[in-house]
Amino acid sequence: MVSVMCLTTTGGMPLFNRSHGNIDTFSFSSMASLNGVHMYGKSHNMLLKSTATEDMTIVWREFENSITLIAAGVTLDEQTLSELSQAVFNTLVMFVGIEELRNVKNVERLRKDLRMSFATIEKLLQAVDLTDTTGPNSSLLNYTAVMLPPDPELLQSYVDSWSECVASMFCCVIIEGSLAAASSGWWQLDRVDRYLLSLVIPSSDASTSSDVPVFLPVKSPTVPFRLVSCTPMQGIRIVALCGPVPDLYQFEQLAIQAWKSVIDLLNDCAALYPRNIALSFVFHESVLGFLLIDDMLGKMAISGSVSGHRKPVKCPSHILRSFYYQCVHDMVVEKDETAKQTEIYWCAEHYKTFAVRDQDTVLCLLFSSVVPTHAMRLICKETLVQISQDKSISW
Amino acid sequence: MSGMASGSMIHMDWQSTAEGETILQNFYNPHSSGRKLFGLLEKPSIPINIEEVSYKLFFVGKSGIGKSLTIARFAGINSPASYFETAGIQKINILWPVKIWEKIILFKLQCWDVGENSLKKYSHILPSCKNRADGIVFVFSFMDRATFTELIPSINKMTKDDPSHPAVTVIGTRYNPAINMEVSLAEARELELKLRTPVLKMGVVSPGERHEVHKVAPLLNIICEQLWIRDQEYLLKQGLSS
Repeated sequence: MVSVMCLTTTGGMPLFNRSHGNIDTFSFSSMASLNGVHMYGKSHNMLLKSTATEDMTIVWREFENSITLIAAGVTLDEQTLSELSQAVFNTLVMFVGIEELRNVKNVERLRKDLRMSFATIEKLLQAVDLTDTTGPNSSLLNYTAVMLPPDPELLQSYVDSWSECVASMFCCVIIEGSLAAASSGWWQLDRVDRYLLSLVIPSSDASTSSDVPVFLPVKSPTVPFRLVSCTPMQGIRIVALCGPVPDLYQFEQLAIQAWKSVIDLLNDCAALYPRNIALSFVFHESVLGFLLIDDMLGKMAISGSVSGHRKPVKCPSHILRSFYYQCVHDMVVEKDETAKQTEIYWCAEHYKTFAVRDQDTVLCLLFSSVVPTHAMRLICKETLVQISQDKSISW
Repeated sequence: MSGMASGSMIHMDWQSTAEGETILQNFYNPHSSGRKLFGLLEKPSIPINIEEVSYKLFFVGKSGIGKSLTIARFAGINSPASYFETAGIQKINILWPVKIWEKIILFKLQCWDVGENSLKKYSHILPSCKNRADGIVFVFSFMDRATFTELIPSINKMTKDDPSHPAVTVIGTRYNPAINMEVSLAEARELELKLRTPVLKMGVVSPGERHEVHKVAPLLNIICEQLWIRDQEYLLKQGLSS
């Protein structure tokens, strides 16, 4: 359960209020009080950063001396809520550009303009909400979801020729919501831009194709690009970040030409969902699921069904997400290299989890409870080595 | 705009017949209660001799009026539970089988949906949507009088100077004859006579509605027929002038 309020810093005018999960939206008066206490602190040269009630944490963040965000969440720590606020602000930049947020001239107009960002903000809230176990929710805040398809080089070569064909350096292919391959330009974008772009691309069951104007919060906060994408086959989305050309119609024609002959390969990748890693990669038999993170590139892969048939725990990806937010997150964000932990584990009644970190890469494995606790470390370390050395997948 | 009465060519209730149901079976999504969305390179598994015709439809109307919801219902897909303003252009291809005279024809309706905000802010969006449009769908709400009075000016603005003479379709959302609507049926009828095109009525969705496909079928059939008639008239003109 999480909620974000947005106000103008100078006037305290509410711009929007979004929440996710079973939480009461804050009334106008509680919004005003929350903002008031923050402003009161400021007038006394104090910065109010956060507070906590018995079950809820509240975080205040100010951006560009113009926009105040107040984030409140249950079971979430200050760090996560602060990251969430930053991500929400970046989303606002993505849809309206930094100028409109820096100099708020007309509150009513800004309020209308910001409505375009709500669908993406919803996804951010969903990414941090651990109480939402209903849907197949497997996203982590600030990490682009990727999959590890078989034959990555072949798929890469098709993405590179697509990039030439559509005349854009920034291209990728999304399969069942996870990035399967991307041009080198796409990986050179800032991780913040890359992550938010992945959220704005519509899923293939929501539209056939789309053309969305976007600013890039880091790379291009004042000049918009066009995020254009289309679905050649259900589950598959072909994407490019474009300038004025090609228009959506031409884009579709180019995509059909470029990908018509590759459909079998793409369908093979789509068949990997929700395993999300090539079938050739074999896990130890006690492993039920994995979460793999690259903190440098800001990417992650998650799977709750590596074993295929056995399902001793109900919601594997949900457990992995909880494990991440409650333990692994601290391990990843710790700046002091000497203080950084490298291993951490959980033992519960029906399952066990183990995480191991090697520089920027973290691997979390979900085990059935029968695995001996002392064996998890070895399995986890060996699996990580295997993933980094296996030529048939590329991490 | 056609002078022909609707229902004269297309079998309006064909989708409910045994033959129609059999064909439609191939359009459902096995993972949901609705229909499948087909990718650019996909087709339902239907007899290959069924001819396919493709049309571009541009949906116009005030923000929040229900354009995206209308398209989602036409497509038979799940729409988000809460309202989000559409960002940029979202295009949905709807495949819809129709029986015209004695022939089954697969209509591909390419529905172009744009958020009002993007439309106003970015100059490339309107031309991209209007270019080569076969039909423009004007959406108003039965519960919002202003959206109804703006229809005629909006239609004139959009279709004036358009050499391709797009077919004009009018859809009224939030239609509920059981309550007192801001736009009366008599007014809708008056508009129908003036434009010589039917005003399609879209009710409020009740959750978990079954037979949704049979609710939207008459509306889709009318849209398909309008487009078909426009083509026939065009061919006729070409024939006369050559």
